Amino acid sequence: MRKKWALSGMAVMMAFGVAACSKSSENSENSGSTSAASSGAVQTASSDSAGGTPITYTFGRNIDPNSDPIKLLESQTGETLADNRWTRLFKEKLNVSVDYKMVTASPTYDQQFKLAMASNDLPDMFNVTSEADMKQLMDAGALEDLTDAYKQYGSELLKSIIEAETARVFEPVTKDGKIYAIPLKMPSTNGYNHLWIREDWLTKLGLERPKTMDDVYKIAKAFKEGDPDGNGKPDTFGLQIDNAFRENMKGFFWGYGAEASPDMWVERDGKAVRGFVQPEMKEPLAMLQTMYKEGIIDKEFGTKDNAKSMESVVSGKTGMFYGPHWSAFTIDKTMQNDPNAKWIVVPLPSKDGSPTKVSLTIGKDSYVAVKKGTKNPENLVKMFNVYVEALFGKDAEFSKYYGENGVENIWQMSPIYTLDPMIDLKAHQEIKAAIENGTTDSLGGTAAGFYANIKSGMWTFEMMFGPKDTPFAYVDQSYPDQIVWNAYLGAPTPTQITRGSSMDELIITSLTAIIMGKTDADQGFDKMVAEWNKLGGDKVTQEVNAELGK
Amino acid sequence: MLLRQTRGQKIFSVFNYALLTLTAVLCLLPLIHVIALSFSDNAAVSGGLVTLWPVRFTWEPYAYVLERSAFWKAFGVTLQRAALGTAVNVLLVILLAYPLSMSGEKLRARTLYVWIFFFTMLFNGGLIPTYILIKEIGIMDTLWALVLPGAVTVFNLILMLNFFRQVPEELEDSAMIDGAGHWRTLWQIYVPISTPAIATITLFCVVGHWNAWFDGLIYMRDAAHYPLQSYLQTIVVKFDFQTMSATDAQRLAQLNDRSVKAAQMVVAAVPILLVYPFLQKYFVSGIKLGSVKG
Amino acid sequence: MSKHTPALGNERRRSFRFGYKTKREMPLHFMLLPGLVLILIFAYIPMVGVTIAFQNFIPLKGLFGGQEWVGLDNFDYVFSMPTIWQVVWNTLRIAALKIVAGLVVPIAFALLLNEVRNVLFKRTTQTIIYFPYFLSWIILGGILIDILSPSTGIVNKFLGWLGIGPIFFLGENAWFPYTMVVSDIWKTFGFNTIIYLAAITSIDPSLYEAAAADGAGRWKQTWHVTLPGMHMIIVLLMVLSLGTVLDAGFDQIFNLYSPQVYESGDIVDTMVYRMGLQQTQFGPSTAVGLLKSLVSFLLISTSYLIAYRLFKYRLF
Repeated sequence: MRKKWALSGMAVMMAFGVAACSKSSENSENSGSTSAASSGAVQTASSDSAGGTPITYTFGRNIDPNSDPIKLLESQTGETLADNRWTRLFKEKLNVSVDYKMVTASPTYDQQFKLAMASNDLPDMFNVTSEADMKQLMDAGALEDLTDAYKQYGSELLKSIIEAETARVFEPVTKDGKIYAIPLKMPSTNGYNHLWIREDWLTKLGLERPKTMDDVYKIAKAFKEGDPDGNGKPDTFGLQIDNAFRENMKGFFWGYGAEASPDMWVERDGKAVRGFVQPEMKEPLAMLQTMYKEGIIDKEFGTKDNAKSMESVVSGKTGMFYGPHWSAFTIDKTMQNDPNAKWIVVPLPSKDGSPTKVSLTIGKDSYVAVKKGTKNPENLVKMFNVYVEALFGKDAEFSKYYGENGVENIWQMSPIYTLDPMIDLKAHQEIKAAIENGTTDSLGGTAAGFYANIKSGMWTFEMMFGPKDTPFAYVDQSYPDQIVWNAYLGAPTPTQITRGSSMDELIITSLTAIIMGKTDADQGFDKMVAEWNKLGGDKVTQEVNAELGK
Repeated sequence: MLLRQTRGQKIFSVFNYALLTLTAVLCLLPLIHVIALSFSDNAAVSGGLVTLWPVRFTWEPYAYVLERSAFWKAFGVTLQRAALGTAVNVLLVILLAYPLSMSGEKLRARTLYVWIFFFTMLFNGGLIPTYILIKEIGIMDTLWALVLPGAVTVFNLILMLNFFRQVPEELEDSAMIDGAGHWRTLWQIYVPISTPAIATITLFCVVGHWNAWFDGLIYMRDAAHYPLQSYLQTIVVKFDFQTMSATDAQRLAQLNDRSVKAAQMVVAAVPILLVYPFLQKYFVSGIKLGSVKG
Repeated sequence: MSKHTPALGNERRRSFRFGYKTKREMPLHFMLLPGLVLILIFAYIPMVGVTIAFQNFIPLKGLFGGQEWVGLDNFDYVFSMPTIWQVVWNTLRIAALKIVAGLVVPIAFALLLNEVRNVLFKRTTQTIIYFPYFLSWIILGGILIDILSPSTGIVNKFLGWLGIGPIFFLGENAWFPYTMVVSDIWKTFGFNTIIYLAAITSIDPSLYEAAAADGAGRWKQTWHVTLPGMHMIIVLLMVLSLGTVLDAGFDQIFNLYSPQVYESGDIVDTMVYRMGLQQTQFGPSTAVGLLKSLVSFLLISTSYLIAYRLFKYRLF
């Protein structure tokens, strides 16, 4: 039993931990010149050995020291956040000790961090959670330049992980061609938004899997009107929606073209433009408006957050929703309410049935920077080297450092961390191949852990990483060919800082009003765009393109 | 009352009792509902079956809360804070109220002093400067950061000061004639006869410290040192997947986060529930004498 | 009102010896010393921080380390913000409603409770209605979020039985301010009722007897004896509450609001909080805080003066 938990925990934490953090990065926009650090001169980091003079760094870390995994590890082995296998490893290999000066989780961490900035009381090394803070720190000259440290000491393994998807990951931490922080790179595949459908309902109502957005509408309508739960009452919804629909059902908007990526910057005629003001948004909004009018979607969505709204999915009243791969943990309970429930994930439908473009931002948790004047800043890079070596290197002890004995996120208990961006996709591919070839016994790493969970009957893992009709089956099919990267990763521009919140409020309220039929999807939308531009949208677009050198 | 009630008075009386009962019940219902939620099982809570009585009674939400060492840690911090903070508050209020209750005759700088204290009720430097100060004097992330900035509670000072003014002057004068100085007069005459006022102020301070949350979020840089309400603020008011660990997630599959929240709120309210009747008997007279002077 | 009118012997004692007074006062100064030191450190020293309101404050440069002085730019900026007047209006509206309701409701209940002859009933009712006062807004906020939920909350379920709703008390601009007022009254009215009740019980019974002898019934007695007898405490609480007209309740609103009700529920304090700690606009944020303090200062001074002129009431 314990063993099973160990492995399951691993993946859960990956899902939750990673999602939690990458969320914050997706909502903000970034700056920085495109110059970035190319992965040019690669030198082997020969100096990663013990024997240096002992040194202690104060640290600011965005993590909740009260969280269960940490307390669990403490009760099992006596290890704490301040003193655990990771910190001991850094001590042993680099003679570096860590002293946590500031440790609490967002959003309190962000508060603490701003107060520390205002009172000029930053630790030696710290998480920077927003691009805006990053920019302020760089502009104030408060950070150590890490360009040479990274180029000179960064191991090839480290560079291969951090720059795996694109070297643009450094954009937000670059000023005048210099790097001022190391991104905590995470799998970008967490940014996917999948379409989940109750297959048993499809079968019952004699419906085909959706290929086009019209199919989605037809299915939703049938789910609403065809009494799919068979209780004789019209008490079902066709499609789940909540108050953060811009982010939580972005897959729906993607169906109408990559330009309709609400919270992204997208390319249009060689320029970066904001997704939610593109005319491609009109059609999906009109569709949602129709659904609202016909009662296909929940009329209360404006006041329901995702967790609340998903309750109707779990209780078997809603049979279709857009969500990330870890939605599996939420809908796992559907089967308790209805043993016949069968969930599938289908490739994202599009307007004309062609492959849908998936808009992703580069996955990362936050950044780690070094305060100006701190001794041997290259030690940060060396710590990263030690970290990736312990998890993904030749002599890696994966489960010891990743999670074991029921403590799922040991990998997060290091002051710095980063994960192989392909970790989930690779696991899926290996499991699929192994099942086909009958070699499941020789699986290793994450794949072995996931597979053990599947074997032990954990539905969530089969649902997420299994070979067919799963989120990662779709990722495998679409990544990286159908990916469109966010066109702008830098910090909020001056106008965004001053006007951003009122502009954002305008968008949220206008889009909600359109869906609720209070304003027209065509003129109402145009009016919103005009107001947005007047509030500073035009200026923001100019500023962003200036940053990008376009 | 010797007078026989008239018909009108009888009707009024019935109406009055009914109205007051209804109001008291309305005040209590939300609290009872939350207690009922905290003892009900998941299916009952999510099915919306719980109103004022637990449905399918369970201790599980409490077991979950009580197992969490972080909850108890925060509970402990709050206990310490309430004890230390209240002691400091009450002592200072007594020490300040005595001289300030003197007439301008006996303490010539009285008006100046009063304004120095009163002004701080109206004006403050704001968050950032106070934060920098806390950092500079080196009490960041310690209990003192939660106790010292609010050590002088001006509102309570006014209450106490007005109470002291009612002490019959003859008592004070006779003590003085007996050769007692101000210190002895304060401790041997004023304090003993001011028990109701001191009890009231103690209650205010305990409650104030117990309920404070914002300063904890700001001055405690290590979340492991949060007092209870700050800890609750991060989970009860804004509860989402970001603060939830995997084991939480799994466990909440069987539990219901509404019951868990309810259980935490109940546990956090219990100490107040315990202090309150204890100090209540002084409370009414304390309030009365402190604020109502003719 | 001041009982410390000089006793007879004082005149003589004063001329007793020069410097006697100073010496006699020394212990009093010593008693004041600890509180004075604490308040100087923790209240007065940080006041130099209001200078941030006149700076283009860049974090990391320190309070005085080379910040750029920008005069009143931050104030200009604040008043050019599209939402500022909405926020001021929200604050005044919520605060005013709270002050009025917070005055009327407890007085009414004190009068009603005063008519109750059954001591046990009276005490039980008092105890019940002032219990919420002692719970924090964190806990009450948690309770409100739960019971007011449009889909699962018990209040909306009850309204549903009556064929009303569901009403999004915390999510709709039409309801949010009133929800704040009513829930605030729920928390505080019991406590204030006790205060008024105390004032009523301290009224000289002979006044009632005299009124009764003049043929006044219960209503007349209430109107001519009880209410006038309470005027002091009413004035005191009004004086105190006028100073808070720009407060409107940060603890409560911060824990209950969300972006969709900013339009009706965002108040000065929550805006200052967001500008400072979320958007790092420390200059404008401090400017708003400073303005708020100034206005509050004027309001409380004025009302204090009025109370003194009209009723000869001294707060301290």
